This record gives sequence, structure tokens and C-alpha cells, in this order.
Amino acid sequence: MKTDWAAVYREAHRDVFAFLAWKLGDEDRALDLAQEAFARVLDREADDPRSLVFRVAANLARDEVRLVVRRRRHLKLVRVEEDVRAEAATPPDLALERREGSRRVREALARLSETDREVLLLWNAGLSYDEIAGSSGLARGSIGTTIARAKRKLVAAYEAGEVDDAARG
Amino acid sequence: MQHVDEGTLQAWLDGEAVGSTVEAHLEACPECAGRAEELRALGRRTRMILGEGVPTSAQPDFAAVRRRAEHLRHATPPRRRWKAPAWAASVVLAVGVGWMAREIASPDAGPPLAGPEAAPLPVEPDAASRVVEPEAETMEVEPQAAPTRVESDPRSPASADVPVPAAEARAAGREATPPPPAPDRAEVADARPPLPRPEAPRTDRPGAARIASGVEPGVVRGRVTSGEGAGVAGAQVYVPGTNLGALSDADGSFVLPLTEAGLGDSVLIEVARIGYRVESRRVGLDAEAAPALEIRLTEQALALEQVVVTGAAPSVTPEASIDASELEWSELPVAEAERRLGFSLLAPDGSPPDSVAVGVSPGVPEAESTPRVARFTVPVGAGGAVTLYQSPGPVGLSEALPEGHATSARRIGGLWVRATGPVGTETLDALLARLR
Repeated sequence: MKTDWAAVYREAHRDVFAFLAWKLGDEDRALDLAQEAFARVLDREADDPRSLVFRVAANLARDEVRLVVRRRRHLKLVRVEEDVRAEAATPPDLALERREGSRRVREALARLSETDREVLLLWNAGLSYDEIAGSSGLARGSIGTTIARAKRKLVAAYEAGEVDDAARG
Repeated sequence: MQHVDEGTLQAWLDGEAVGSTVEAHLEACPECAGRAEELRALGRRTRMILGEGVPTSAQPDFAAVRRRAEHLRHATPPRRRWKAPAWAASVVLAVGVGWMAREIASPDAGPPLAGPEAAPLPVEPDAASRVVEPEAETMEVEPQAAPTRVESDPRSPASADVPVPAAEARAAGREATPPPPAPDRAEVADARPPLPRPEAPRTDRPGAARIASGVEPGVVRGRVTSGEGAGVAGAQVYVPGTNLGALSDADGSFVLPLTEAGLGDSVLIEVARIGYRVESRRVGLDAEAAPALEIRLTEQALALEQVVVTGAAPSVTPEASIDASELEWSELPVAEAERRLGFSLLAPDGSPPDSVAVGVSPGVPEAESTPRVARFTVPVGAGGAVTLYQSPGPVGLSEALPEGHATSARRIGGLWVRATGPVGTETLDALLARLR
């Protein structure tokens, strides 16, 4: 059966985008790479198209991370701009709350190692252990341990951030 | 005793490890059972954290992807080739949220609400305004939603073609599809004006994908409080065995939209917060039900930090194993049974059985006895029935099973559940997996 990529795109784009945005901390790049990921699979057939896209996206993200240091200063500017735009479009308290939530999660994710972060985000996106193993290069047998560790780190980092925020007022 | 390592426990929770060995061990080992429960709670918390302020974007037109693919074809060979996938065809991922959202937006997605259900529930103005904010529109699409593998959601192709409402400001100035025409939204609003759209509440993240099959919206609201009546923020309110859940806000209030078909008239929800005991309630989803719940948590001397350090603290004091064969059983109406048991029953389709028997140890005067085990049957296949025992502690049977009967046990949502009946273990496991 021919894979209906347009349907997969409609259905999975948001998740792929969210995955990339968390992974990269940069929504512009995430949008671009999500498109790239879909473009790369368009000629292919897949039993599980959604997983294929995630896998390609994860690979693209990994390549991207290597380049990210170079661009970091630029990113900072982009993000400030984004925040301003988002704020203009949503009621102030919501915009603030959302940005705060997003910032705290981003900071917590940043405490994880590259591998832990990738595995956790793929797990969160619903990929199977085989797929996560295929994408991350880890042995299947170590996926469970990695997920458990990553969850624990993320929750601890997130809650530590909560405490910090509260302390700062 | 050889304990189950954390990786295997995690794999088991994710349905990725052979269950029987792990389950047998968990049944015998309260320590590992406690660790499994912690790990499960951590997983829920993780999904909720990742649902906080999840990045969203308008969906650019698919044509742009085609153009880009065309460009790739004519470009120099890719610097890297991805290997073709060789995954099992049996993996079925949840159909995504985008479609679900459309289902809701589609005027033919379901009958408009009528009657008492359409009356707005009393919520504080803040929450009320929140659920109708356009910003919330973007919150319905969450990566958390995807993990359910077994649920594919049959929907009409027609509804899949309705464009996604994309309310993100980011759409502006990109090659993005413009936001859908306003009339669409207006129609939806006309069809069901008084009820906050079920996809809108910002607190529904983990379950968003499975909400909104467009049938019977049912929104559970309430407030989580501590012993002193103060609101408890950040409590997880969820339907055990599913990805449906919400977090309470600073005031302790929560909104949990449960519109998924097949939850039945009532549903068991649990409320958990690190440092408190897990509370469970059965709540009605039908028209008359759903007053705002007040759920009071009692403190429990266990903090997440302790778990992180020791890595193995059981979250609850496990109760002693109970031999169901030796109990005296008395039939009660479900509500009465649940009141006496102090917990809500789990059933495969989410609706409780007609009646239930509670078991007490023989020789204990009724006034002093608190039943700790519930027993009821659910039909399976042609004419067969499986008996389910549910208890806060492990339930055993010292009676020999009749020929052709099997038994299987599993810990679900804080309860130990044993199923036994004239069917194979596989059937029992499948049944247990559907318990809510």
C-alpha cells in the first residue's frame, strides 16, 4: 500500500515539530527541520511512517546539535523576538504562564545528556523501544534504564527549578 | 530473591518486556512493586512536564514539503543516507491529534449537546475564561498523546479533511496555511455554545489525543485540597491505565476533559501528588453528574527526593497478601461496596459491574470488619465469565483452579487485581490490560 504522506504529515507534523523544538530549543529551526524530515521521506514506503519521520527527524536534530554552538548568539535574538510575537498574540497572563512553563521545561531538558534527552523525547513521542534503539544507536536492552534515568533527572531538574523560581519570588 | 532491575521494570511498564516473569516477581515482592509504582508515577509526571508549554506551530502547507522534496531530488546526493526501516508492521501508533482536533471542529462530528449537560459548570471566572482562549486551541496537540499504541481511532475520511484550526501567531508571515476560515469555528460555537470546548482546557495535555473522539463530552472539574483545605497545586489527576490526565493549578483546581468514547457513564480517577496518599474517586460522566469535585489529600511521609536518593522506597506500605478462598462474601450494590472498601472498582470498559461482593475474614464481627477485597464477574466471549478480585494488597487463591481455568494478576492504579476464569492466560491478560 502506498504511504499517504500527506495524511501522515497532517497527523504527525505537530508532534515532530514539538519533538524537534524541545530537542533543539529553537522553534524556527524545528519548523525547518520538520519540513526537511518530511521532504526526505516523501519517496519512501514505510510500514510505520510516523516512526520513520521521527527517526529521520532525530538524525537531523543530532546533526543540528553539532552546529548549534556556532549559532547560539543568533538563536538568542530569535528567541526574544519570538517571545515578543507570542506575547502580542495571546493574553498577557497566558503568554507569560506558557513561556514560563516552556522555559522551565527547556531548562530542565538542558540538564539531561544528549542521549538521555533524545531517548526521553522519542519515548514521549510514543516510539517503541526497537525504534528508539534504531534511532539513538543504543542497545535495545539499555533503553529501559535510560528512560528511567532520564525521567528521574528531568523531574528532579524541573522541580528544582520550581523551587528556585519560588525562592526568587 | 533476585529483584527486577529498573530498566526491566520500565520496559515492563511500557509493554516492552515479557510480562509474566516480572508480574510474578512484583506479586511476591512489595519492594519491587513499590519501585514499579514510583516509576509509573515518574512517567506520568514526565509526560505532564513535557506537556507544559509544549512548543506549537502552525502547520505549513504540505505543498511546501513536496517542493522541498523535489529540490532534494535534484540536489547533490544527500550527505548522509538513512537506512530503511525494518520495524515490525504490528506496531500501531495512535492516530494523531491533528485529526482529533478536526473531528471536534467538524460540524458533523457528533450531535450537539443538549439538556443539562450543556449548562456551564460553576467554575471560577479565571478558569472559565481560560478554556475559551484561542491560545488554548494550540494546546490540544501534544506529543504526550501519542504513546498509546493499541488505540487506532477509526474516523470518517470526511472529517479528516477539515482543516486544522491553527491559532498560532507564528503562522503570520510564513509560507504557512492561513488559519481556517472563521465560519467553521462559528458553526462549532453555535452547535454547542455553553460548554467549553473539550479540546480547549489547557490542563488536558497527556490525554489530548484520545480525548475528542467527538461523542459525549464529559468534563470533570474540581479542586484538590490538603487537610487544611488549602489548594494543592501540581497534583496529577488522571484516569488509571490511560494517558488521560491533568495537573491542578495554583489554586488546586483542575479540569479533566474525558470525552473519549467507551469510558462509560462513570470513570475512576486518581489524584496523586508527591508527599500525599493517592486518592481515587469514581465520577459520573453523564448529564446529571459532574458537580465540581473536592478531593482532599492526606499527607504521606514520602518525598520524591527520598526516592531519588534511595531509588527503592515503596510508595505505600503493602498490605499483607489475602487469600480470597478463605473469605466470607456478601453481595452489595456497587456504591455501597465501594464506600465500605474505600476504593473504586476497575472494570474493562470503565463502567462498574451491577453488583459486587466484598470479602471479610470469617469470624470478625461485622461492625469491626473492613472488607479489603472486592469480587465481581465480567463476561468474556460466548457465555464465559471471568471473576475479578480487587484489593489494595495482593490477592491469592488457595483453592485449586478447576480444569481449564487460569488465573493472572496485575497491579493497576494502586490496586492488586486478580482475574480467574475458564479461559486462557492470554485472555485474562488482555482483560487485565483493559481495566480502568
